Amino acid sequence: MQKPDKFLPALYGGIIIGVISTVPFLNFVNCLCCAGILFGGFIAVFLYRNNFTPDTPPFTMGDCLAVGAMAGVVGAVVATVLDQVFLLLFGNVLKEFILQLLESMDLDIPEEALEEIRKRIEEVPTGIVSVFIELVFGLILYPIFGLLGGLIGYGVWKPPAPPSQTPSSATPS
Amino acid sequence: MGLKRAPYFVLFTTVLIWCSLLFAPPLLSALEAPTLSHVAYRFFSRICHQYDARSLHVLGYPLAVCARCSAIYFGFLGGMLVAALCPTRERRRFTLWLLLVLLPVLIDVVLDGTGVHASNVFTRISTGLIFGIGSGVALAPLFAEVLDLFLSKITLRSNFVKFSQERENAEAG
Repeated sequence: MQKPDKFLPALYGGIIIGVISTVPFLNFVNCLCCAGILFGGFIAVFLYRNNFTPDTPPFTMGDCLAVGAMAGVVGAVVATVLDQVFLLLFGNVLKEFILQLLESMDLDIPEEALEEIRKRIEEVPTGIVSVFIELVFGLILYPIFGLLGGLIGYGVWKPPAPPSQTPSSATPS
Repeated sequence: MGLKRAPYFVLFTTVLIWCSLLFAPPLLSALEAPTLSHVAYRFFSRICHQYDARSLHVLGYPLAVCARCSAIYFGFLGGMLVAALCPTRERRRFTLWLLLVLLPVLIDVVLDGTGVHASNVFTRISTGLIFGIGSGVALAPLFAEVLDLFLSKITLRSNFVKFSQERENAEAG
């Protein structure tokens, strides 16, 4: 019997990665060492593992790495698309929030530094080339962290090793 | 170098390259290559907030990722070294171990976010190092297992090709 298909779990994992990486404020999760991407790879392995039955051969570490990396690839594409959708629909919510926060807080920041922060925040990448560059960067980074998430998933749900048969126990007395 | 050490060597070199890349943007900035530096910073911006106040600086410029992320990556490198020097196949309590090393980071982030205690460079680096080293120790054996399989396949394949060529030569001769 063949192993279950890897695409659907990777697709669901990728969608989770895309949503976590894009939704304003929720994307702060990725600030913690790409926790959102790791989580997507991890969930993809969880969903993949659920498709196994006692008849199918057990999943291997290679399977988990592949599912995690595939989730990363899907996640990079979904994140780039969703990013543009959110920008079109709501504008840069996060940028406005940070600017408002800076203005409302009575911080003792030098005017030059404040201006630099404003300039950096205002630098919102636009245009098809910029979107393409973001996609390429995502396609490099997300599969790496998705793969790591897949590896963690394997470590957590690793199938138990079959009991080794010693000659004494294998031979009937 | 035995085959058992080879995966750890490959792994350690890969993570070392990744950690070295974190120095690329500030070095490029110091070398007055603003375009390349901007591209490098943008590459890493997909996986970290890169706030200047929360980053370590080299030659007056912030590293590619924040202090916590840097500590996690360098800790991971250290953890891999520990795992390479004391290799073990034991992976019991994998999940518990990961949660345990993640706990200090979560506490620091949550307490900082809720305003109970303001995180500082020391807490960010120390909690990041704990998580990095801990996850490196836990994940390195899994990575090594994959690489070991991969390297074994390459060795087997090259041996097979060599054997086939020798047999062809013998038959022709």
